[in-house]
Amino acid sequence: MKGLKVMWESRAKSGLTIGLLAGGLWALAIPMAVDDYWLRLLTTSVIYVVVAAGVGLLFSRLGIVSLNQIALMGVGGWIFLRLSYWLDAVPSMLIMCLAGLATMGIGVLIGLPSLRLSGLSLAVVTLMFAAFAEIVFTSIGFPTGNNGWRGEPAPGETSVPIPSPAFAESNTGLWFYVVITTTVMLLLLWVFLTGRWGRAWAAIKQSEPGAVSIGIHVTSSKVTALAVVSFTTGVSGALLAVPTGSLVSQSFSAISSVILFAVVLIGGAFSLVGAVLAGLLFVALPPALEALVARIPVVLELLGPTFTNLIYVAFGIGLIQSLIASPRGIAGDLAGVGVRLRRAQRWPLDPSDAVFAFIVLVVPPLSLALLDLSLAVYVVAAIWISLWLVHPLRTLWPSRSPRGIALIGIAVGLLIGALGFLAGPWVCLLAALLVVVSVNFLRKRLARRLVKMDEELASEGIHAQL
Amino acid sequence: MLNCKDVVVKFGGVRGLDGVSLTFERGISGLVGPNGAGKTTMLNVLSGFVSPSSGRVEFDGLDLLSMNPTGRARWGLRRTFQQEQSVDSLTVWENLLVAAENLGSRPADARQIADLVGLTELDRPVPLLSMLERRLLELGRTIMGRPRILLLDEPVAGLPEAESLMFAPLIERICEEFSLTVVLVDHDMDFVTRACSNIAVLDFGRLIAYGDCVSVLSDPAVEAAYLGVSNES
Repeated sequence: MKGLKVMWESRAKSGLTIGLLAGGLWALAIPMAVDDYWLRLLTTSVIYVVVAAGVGLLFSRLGIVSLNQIALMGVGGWIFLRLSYWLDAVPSMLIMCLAGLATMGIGVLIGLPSLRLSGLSLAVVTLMFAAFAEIVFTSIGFPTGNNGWRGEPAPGETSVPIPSPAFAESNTGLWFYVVITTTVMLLLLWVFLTGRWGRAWAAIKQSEPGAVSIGIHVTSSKVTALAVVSFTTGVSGALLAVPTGSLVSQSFSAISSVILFAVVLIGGAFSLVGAVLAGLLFVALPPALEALVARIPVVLELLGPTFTNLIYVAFGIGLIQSLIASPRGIAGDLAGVGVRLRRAQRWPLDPSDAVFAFIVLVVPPLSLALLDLSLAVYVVAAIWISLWLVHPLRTLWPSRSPRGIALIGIAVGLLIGALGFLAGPWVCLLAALLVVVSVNFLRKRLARRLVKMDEELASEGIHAQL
Repeated sequence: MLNCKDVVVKFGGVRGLDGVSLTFERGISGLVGPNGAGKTTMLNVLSGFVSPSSGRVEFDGLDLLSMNPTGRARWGLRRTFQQEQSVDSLTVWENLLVAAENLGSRPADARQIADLVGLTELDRPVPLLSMLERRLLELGRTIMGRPRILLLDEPVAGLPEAESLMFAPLIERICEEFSLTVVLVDHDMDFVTRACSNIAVLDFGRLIAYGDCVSVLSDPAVEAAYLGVSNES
C-alpha cells in the first residue's frame, strides 16, 4: 500500500490524469465523428497501441530490440481462438486473460536469449523467431470453430468462424470494448513503469554493473519485463480476433514486426503517448496515405499500382528524421505541451495554462465531433502544429517572449490548416512534414553549435589558467 | 575484517593481480598505485564482477566468493565506480528509492540517507545535478539498508580540490555511523592521506607496501613505483 501511495504521490500521477482525461474525450468524440470504415480502422489502431507500448517499454527501459512482437500477438490470437471454441461458456474477457498468460510463457521462453545477448545479435534472434512464427502460421493457419486442435475444417466441411460476442456486433460497441481493454493494459504497463520494476529497469538500462551494485537482480528484472509485455501483447492479439472470430496469417508477417519497431521509434519509445501515436501511424496511416495519394494523378501515373508502397518511404523518412533530430520521437517533441498541461493542474491556477489545457484537451475532439470532418481535420492539424512549435521555437529563439513564440506558432499552424483547406490534404500533410523536419534540423544544428561554443569557452578557460 | 589471501587474476597471459594477500581492518583503508597496478581489478574481485583464478576472499570468516555480485550487494558489500552510475532517466529521489527497494530498506530510510549525505531538492532530474551532487547521490545509494563493506573507486574524480577535501569527513562520518570497512581507491594522495589510516600500494598486480600513511609514503619501493628508478642510481 505504501508503495502505491508513493507512486500516486509521484509526478506521474498528473500525467496519468491528463492522459485518461484526454483519451476519454477522444474516445467519446471519435465514434460520433468518423464513418464505419474509419471507426473499424481506428479500433484496430487502438489494439496495436498495446503492442507498440510493449515494444517501446522493452527498448526504452531495457535496451531490448524485440522484433517478434507481432508474432507474439499472433500467438495470443491463435490461443484465444482455440480456447474460445473449447471454453464457449466462459466470458471472452477471461479467455483473453488466459491467452495472455499462455503468450506470457511463450514470450518469456523466446526472450531468454535476451539475458545473454544484446543489440544487433538479440534483434536478429527475435527476428528469426518472427520468421519462424510466420512459417508456422502460414502452414497450420488459425483455428476456426471446427473440431481438432487446429480447428481446421475436415474435407467437405466449411470453415465456421468463432461467434463474436454481443458487444462486438456494433462498431461503436466494439470501439468502446477495445478502448477499455487497451486502457486497462496500458494502466498495467504504467503501474510497472512507474513502480519498483520500472525504476529497476531504468537502472539496468543505464548500466548493468551499476544496477547490480545496488542489489538489482538483472535476470529476474528482465524476465519480469518480458512477461508483462508478452502478457499485454497476447491480450491484444486476442482482442484482434474478437470482431470477426477469425484471423489470417498475413497479419502476422515478420516484416510487420520490423516496421512496428521503426514506427515506435518515430512515435516515441519512451512514453505511452508515443505508443498511442505509433499504433495510429502503424495501422491508420497506410490507408490514409493511400487515400490521399490516390487523388494525385501524377503520382498514380508515375508509380502505377505500386503507389501503395509509398508508406514504406514515408516510414523511412520518419525514421531517419527521428534518429537524427528527434530521438524521443513525436511524443518527445510534444513533451513541452505536457509540461504546460501538468502545470495547469496545480493550484493556484495560472489562467493561461488553464486556457492552454482546454484548447489541447477539449477543442480537437469537440471540433471533430461537431464540425464537418474534412474541415475538422484541418482545425486539429492547425492546433497541433501550433502547440508542437512552442517548445522547439523556444529553444531556437530563447530571447523571444513566450507570447511572441505562441503567436508565431499559431500563425504557422493556421497557415498549414488553411493550406490544407484550400489546396487539399496532401499539401497540408507535406507542409506540416516540411515544418517539423526543418525545425528539428535547425534545433540539431543549434545544439551542435552550442556544444562547440562550450568547448571553445572551456579551452579558452584552460589557456587562461595556464 | 576483510581478508584477501593469495588472490590471482589472469587476463589471458597478463596477471592483473599476482598473489595479493591483504587484510583490511574496520575503518578507512586506501588502495593506491600507478595506472594499471590492479586497484580496480581488486575492487572488482571483492565485489564479484571479476572471478579470481585462485585465492580466497573472506569477511569475518564468511567466504565472499561463494556469493554472486547481487548477493554480495544485498548482504552489505557496496561499491561505487570510477564513472558514477546514477540513473539519468530518474529523479534524485527515485535514484535513492531504487537502491532502497533492492537493498532491503524503506523509503523513510532513503530520506534519512539523503539528509546524511546532504542532498536537497530530491525531485530534480539527475542530468541537472552538479558533479558533486552526483557523487553524493552515488554515495547515498551505496549505504542503503545495512552496509558492511564499502568500496569506493575514485569517489572524488572530476571534483575540484575544495569539494574533494569536503568528501573526506563525510566518508569518515558514514564509516563511523555504520561501522564500516571502507576501501578507498584514488589518485589524489592528499585526499587519500586525509581520509585513510592505512594504505596499501599495488604495482603491476603485486602488493609492494602496506601500513600507516607516513611509513608507506616514505617507502623507497613506493617512490620507485610512482617516480620510476633512475639507471644512474
